[in-house]
Amino acid sequence: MKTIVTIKNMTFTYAGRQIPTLKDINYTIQQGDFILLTGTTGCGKSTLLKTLNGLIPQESGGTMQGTVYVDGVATHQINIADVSRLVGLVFQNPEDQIFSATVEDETAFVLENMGLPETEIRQAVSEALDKVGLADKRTASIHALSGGQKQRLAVAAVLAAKPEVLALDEPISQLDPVGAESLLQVLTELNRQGITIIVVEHRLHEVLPVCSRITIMDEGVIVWDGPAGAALSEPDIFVRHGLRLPQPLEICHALGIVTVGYSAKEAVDVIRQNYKINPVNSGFIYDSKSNIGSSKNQPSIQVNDLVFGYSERDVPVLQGVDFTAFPGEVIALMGTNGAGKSTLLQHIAGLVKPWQGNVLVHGLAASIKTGLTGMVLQNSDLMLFNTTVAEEISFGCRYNVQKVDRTADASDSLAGLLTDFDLIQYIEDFPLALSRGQRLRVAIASVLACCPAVLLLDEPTTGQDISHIRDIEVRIRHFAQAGGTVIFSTHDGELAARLAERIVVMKRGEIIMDSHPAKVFCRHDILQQASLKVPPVIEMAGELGLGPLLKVEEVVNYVRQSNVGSNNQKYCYAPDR
Amino acid sequence: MKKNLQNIILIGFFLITLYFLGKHSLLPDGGSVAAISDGLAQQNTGLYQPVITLDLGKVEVRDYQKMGFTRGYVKFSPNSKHLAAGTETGDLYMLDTQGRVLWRKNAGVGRLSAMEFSPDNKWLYVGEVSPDGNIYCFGVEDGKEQWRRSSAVDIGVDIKKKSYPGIMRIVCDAQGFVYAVSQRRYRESDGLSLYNSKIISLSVQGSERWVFPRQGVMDAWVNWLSVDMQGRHLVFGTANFETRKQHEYDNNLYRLDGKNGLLAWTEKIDPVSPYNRTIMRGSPNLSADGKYLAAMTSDGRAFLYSTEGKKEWEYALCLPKEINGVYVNAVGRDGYVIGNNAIFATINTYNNANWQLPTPVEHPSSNSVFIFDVQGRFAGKWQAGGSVEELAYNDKLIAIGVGRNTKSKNAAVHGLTIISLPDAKLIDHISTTGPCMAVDISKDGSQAACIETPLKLDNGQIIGRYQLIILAKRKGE
Amino acid sequence: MYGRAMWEATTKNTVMHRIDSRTKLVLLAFLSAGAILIDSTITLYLLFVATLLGHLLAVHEINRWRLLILLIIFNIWGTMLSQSIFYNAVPKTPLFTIMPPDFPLLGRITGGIYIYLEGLAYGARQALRSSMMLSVGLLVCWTTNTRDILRSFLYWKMPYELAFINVTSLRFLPDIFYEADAVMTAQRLRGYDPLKSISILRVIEVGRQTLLPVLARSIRRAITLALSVESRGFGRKQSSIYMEEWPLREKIFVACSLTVLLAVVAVKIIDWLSFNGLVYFTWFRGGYDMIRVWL
Repeated sequence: MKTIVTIKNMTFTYAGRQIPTLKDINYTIQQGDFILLTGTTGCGKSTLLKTLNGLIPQESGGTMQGTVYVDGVATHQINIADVSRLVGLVFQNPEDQIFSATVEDETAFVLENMGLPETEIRQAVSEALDKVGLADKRTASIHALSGGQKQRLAVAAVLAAKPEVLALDEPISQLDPVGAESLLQVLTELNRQGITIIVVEHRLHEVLPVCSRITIMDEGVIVWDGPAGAALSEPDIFVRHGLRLPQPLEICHALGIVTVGYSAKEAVDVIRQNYKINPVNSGFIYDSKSNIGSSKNQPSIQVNDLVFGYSERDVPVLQGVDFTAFPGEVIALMGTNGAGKSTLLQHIAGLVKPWQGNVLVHGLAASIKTGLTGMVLQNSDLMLFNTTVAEEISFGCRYNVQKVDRTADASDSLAGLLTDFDLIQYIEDFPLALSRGQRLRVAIASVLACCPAVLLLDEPTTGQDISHIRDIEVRIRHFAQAGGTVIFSTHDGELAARLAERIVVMKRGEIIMDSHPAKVFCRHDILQQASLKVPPVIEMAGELGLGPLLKVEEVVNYVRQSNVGSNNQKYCYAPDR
Repeated sequence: MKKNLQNIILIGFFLITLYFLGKHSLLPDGGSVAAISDGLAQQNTGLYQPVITLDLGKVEVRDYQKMGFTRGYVKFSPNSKHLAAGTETGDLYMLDTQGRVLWRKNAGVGRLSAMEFSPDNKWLYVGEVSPDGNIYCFGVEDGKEQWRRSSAVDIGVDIKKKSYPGIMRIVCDAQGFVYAVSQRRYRESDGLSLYNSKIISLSVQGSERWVFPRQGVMDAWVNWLSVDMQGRHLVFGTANFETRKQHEYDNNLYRLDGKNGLLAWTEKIDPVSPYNRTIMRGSPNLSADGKYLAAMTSDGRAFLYSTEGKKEWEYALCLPKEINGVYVNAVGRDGYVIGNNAIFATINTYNNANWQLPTPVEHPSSNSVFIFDVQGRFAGKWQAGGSVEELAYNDKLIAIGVGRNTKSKNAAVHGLTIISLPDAKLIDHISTTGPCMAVDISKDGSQAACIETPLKLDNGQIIGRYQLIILAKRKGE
Repeated sequence: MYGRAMWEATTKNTVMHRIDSRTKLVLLAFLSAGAILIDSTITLYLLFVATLLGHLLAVHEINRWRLLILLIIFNIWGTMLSQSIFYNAVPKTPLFTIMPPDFPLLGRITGGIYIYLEGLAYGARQALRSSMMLSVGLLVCWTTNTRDILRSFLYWKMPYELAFINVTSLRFLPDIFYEADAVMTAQRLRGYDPLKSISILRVIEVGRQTLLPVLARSIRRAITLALSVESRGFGRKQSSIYMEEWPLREKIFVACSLTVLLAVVAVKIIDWLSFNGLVYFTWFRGGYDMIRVWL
């Protein structure tokens, strides 16, 4: 097989930094590879990607030692325009890289820059759009596209030049599951047609099943590189480097067995082969709604017949939403983009006024002025506008003078928050200069500093790696245990299943289901309507006849429990997690 | 629904904004004629009724602080079939007797300064102050420009110092010859404020008949001239405000031969204490037959001369009076000979030391019209209450534009007053809210017209509008 | 707040959309020059209305009209009112009295607050200038593809960096509006209403606080966009710029417009020379009169 990229002894240091971001990299990419390049935030994977088409060092201003050869040519010797015919680069956020007004124009851009005649451009545009499944959107405005479609357009925009390598920097991190799946399907198909793909991604549980090779980086060094199949046998590597394993793999790993694939079914088969499982016959072990929402508690949030729209010409975004939440509850809002999740959160926060119906928070009409609600916006970076972490967190305290009766623990002092959120050492740091996970923690802490009774989070885990997600989960649980109500919107079914006591599923401005996660994930009709995927753990628990278990630990514990005293001693090993 | 309503309101508000901006920007300022129903202006006898008003547009609103005030020009054609009106902002309107605007022009970079109809009612001569200092001849019916003549060639122009020539007054004789005085003020580097002036006579076709002086210019301030019906005599007065310099044209009264512009005689009128110079602002004026000329000096003396230069008589109508150590005087301005009568008018009372300083009392002869017969016998006096801004007359009537009274600041005096000749009896007084700055009365007295101007009172309130008011005499009277 | 799509170009097939981006940019430049050069309210008004006609031809949806109208109304009335109150030249004619001079304390300090007629007229002229710019700016923005604008700049040999800065600012302007709004929402959510303060220091502080995250985000985004277009073969090292033929009709139109603009510049110079007492041409009197009314 042809070697298409060769990186030899490459070390790269960004301008103004002392420590190299990439250290002595030696790496080759074969034609037809589908590589998942992963690692924790800041490990240098995106930097490595940019060396592939010459952006580094040509546009970076840093210093590079060693050489990157693409198709035998050193990237620093030819200009980026020429390398771009060999390596197409797609970035994380489609909004940031799309440059034209229509799908067609955006796709043709690279070809026009190559100076191709118009007939050829038309032909190549058609082919590229066909490949990403946007042929029917050729003349559409980019505004008419969904997030997933935009990212596919970004792929088409580089694909049109017929590159041999397609390099994508976290292409699915901003997408919902439907968008992510469609993009991955496109990539798989492209790879099948011979295009080499290299994807940098945190959400490896979604990419792993489709890739052929995995490269793990840590602190600027490639720490592991091997075929995708090897990951199945060495899941420890992923765990060691703080990477998110697909749930079937995680369960098998915890049970000390090796699965042959990433699917729930394959994992179940392996578990069955190794463990004796006693199916549970008692049906649901959960109440229909959460345990907390009992009649003795006053509801913290009441949404009554809420109707709202942004324009009278369009269908209302919320169409008669009724919803109640109680103190201590953690509720996940799920549904496709445009289902009305963010708009509902904005109503609870008192940011918008309902057309019809009302929203009560602790008996008062929802309003910013009550100070009862805290909200973490989708792009939490926009919430950081002070110059130090301490200022950022204390900002709300200065202005929030109305201290209404709070059910949440109001005693959290600034110091307590900083300690709780593990931010004490960054107290004088510039918030926007912190890492992605730290920035999110600062944003949440700054909201909690105002002692809200209700905490709203709009897709808090988007673009975060698993360690950050776990971190946030802990904070959210603490807040709820102290009596606060938490509502968060998410596309991450695994997170919702793990964290939420209730999932509210929305579709086109209506709540189509409001129940315990176990119930929600059993309703295939609802999941289909809301384009949700069943977390593999639930699928596996079902397959194993264990009932609706929601967490990896629950399945692992159950399987282990079923085998206590059995002869399968060797399989009872499970490392402490 | 709510959103739709919002949109409709928004678009409506936007269109209204656009409309008003458009109205303000696109439509020429002023020019809208309105017929008056009745009782718009407060009337005294009710003999003259305001019938038409013409909005003259926006103009700078002035107050009591300055001596000068908003100008306006109004003139009936000799046959009284047309009325020309000019504004400070350079707009020129020609109306018919029904108040219809026949045409309208703007002086562009020029400022209107004089206006006169030709005796055959065909042409309107208009003078301007501008870098060209043109005198224009327009067709009365169509407003078409027939010719123009620049006076910059006569008295020069200094663009750098913005010293522009201007036509100060235009008169015609019965044959239609045109006589005009052009004047230009300039400042010397040593601070002297000086004037150049020249008298120009033109034919109906605009060709030059003669100029005075033939060579060079008069180093004097000339803003008035008068000619008799036959065009035999032409008189004008000069003044020199700058006493630090010796002037060639240092006399006060000059009479030229109307046919060739040659100097016939000249007369120096000595100043009267406490003045150090003699100035005539609205005189001298010849009688129609050319026999007499009336002159009124700003120090308050009225003169009647024969055309040959003989002083017939002299009266001190409003000599400066010393009151509480302050010389107060009422400024004399107009002097006319109408038939067998000589008419003189005075304006406001001023402190002689400086017109901006206060005066303890109003001069008893201020703001008045005095009528004598040519023999010098007193016939009547009319106290107008406010400054006599302009006098217009026919054989039997005198129309007085009554403007500000800078002493009493009584706004109730403003208006158009018509008195009888020679006994100075009130025929009618039509009040205007703002000062009445220009007047004319038709030859037969059936119509009168005046221009009202806005005035800013000391409390900041603005009264009056810039408008032309046409009045008609009640039928059968 | 309006979504970011509101500030971006639409993809319609109207006359305004079909006009070559170069033509539109040239007209934008010409009108900008005109807005500065021209003092005549009539001409400014006519040009302003012409830009609105352009919007009519572009067939916007109601939301864009709403935005355009709102911006223009705020601009016009805001400018007119502020100019009419703070008008400082003479003469000034009070039209209404907001606070009489004898009003206790404040009246005495301020000497009375009035709406001045001349200020209103002056404000109207300034408002027409800025509204015209706003209107034509939005028209170009709403009907022209960002990449075409960039190409046009490079077609005219504008330095690549400068062209890119221009276009990214245009490209990100909608996002900046959108994100500034989000930051202010975040501030409100934390109990502080940034728009409810009259203290100048507070306003400056809020401005800084609002801009900080927006700028940080914009810089990141600009880098991404730059990298993205460079990796698609578009950059300073590019030898030729792909552009469709500039239609002859439009070239002629631009040439005529340029002639008009140059003529305006020329007569304004002549007028300026005369106004400042340097040269006066008697033969050009009609021109001077025309300038007074139309320019």
